[in-house]
Amino acid sequence: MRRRRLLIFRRPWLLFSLIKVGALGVFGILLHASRIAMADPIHAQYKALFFAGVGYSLVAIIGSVLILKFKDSQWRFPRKGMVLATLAGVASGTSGLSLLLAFAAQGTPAVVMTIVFAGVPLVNAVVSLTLDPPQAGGLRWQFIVGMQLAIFGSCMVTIYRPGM
Amino acid sequence: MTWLVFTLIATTASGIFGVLTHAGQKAMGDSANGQYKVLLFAGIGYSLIAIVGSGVMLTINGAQWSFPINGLGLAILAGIATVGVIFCNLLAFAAQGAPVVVVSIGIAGAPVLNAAIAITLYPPAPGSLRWEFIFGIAAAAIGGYMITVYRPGT
Repeated sequence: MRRRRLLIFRRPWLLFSLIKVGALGVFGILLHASRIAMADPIHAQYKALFFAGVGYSLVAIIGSVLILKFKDSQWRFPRKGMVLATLAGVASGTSGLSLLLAFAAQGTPAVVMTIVFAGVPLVNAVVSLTLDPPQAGGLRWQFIVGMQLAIFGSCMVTIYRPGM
Repeated sequence: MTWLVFTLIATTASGIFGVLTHAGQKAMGDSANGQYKVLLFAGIGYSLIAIVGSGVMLTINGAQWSFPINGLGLAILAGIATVGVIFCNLLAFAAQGAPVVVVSIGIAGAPVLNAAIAITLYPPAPGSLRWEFIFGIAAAAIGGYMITVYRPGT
């Protein structure tokens, strides 16, 4: 136990990585729980998304403005960077809305989030490889096996989900 | 299976999110603060969909503007958790964590943690939890980890 604590003190990146695992692991469950707690069978997903947006904006907008002020950064934003970053936020918001709609259509957090977690690196890899194709022989067998495992795992979770 | 369609849209949007933030950070042309500038505009983009979009939908549908405190608090926490993931990534990178390792820990650990909490909070009917389902979660987590660690260019 003592050794583990020392390891985290010596490697703060590991601590942040573990906090990230916690945040990623509870995100879908919190969305699902908030939708149920809204107690509105018709509009619960929009109400939950509205306040998820408030929470996101509090940290993303106010937090980054404070850091930029604190670090005395130049307030200059290239148009291309601005557009791409805003589109990233739109993609993230679309993802949140789709998750809430999936939960509203009787998807359970354990099943929906497992498919998302397996699919995200897959989509990310396909888009990245399409935009920036690797050199001949640049694809390693472990990468291909990883893709197959992610697809296979997602199929297993979908087919054998509890209640089927 | 409508839930599966929405799940795949969420997966695609989340997968594109990573590519867009990376491209946005490069386009900001600021090696010191580019990531925070990206986060600022990602927050604006998210707000457009989440706050403005859902606000418009609630108004059009004539929904009552009453929000149980429990649902409101959980939803705000969900939003903070989403952006917390991005912030922790940035802090881990700043603390000399290699991106491939930091991202891989998240991709391998999150599905297992999510499944464990979800099954604890919403236990399935006795006997309905099959070994193939557990095996699928493990395969998906290992697959995501391998894609990240052995991606081209690493």
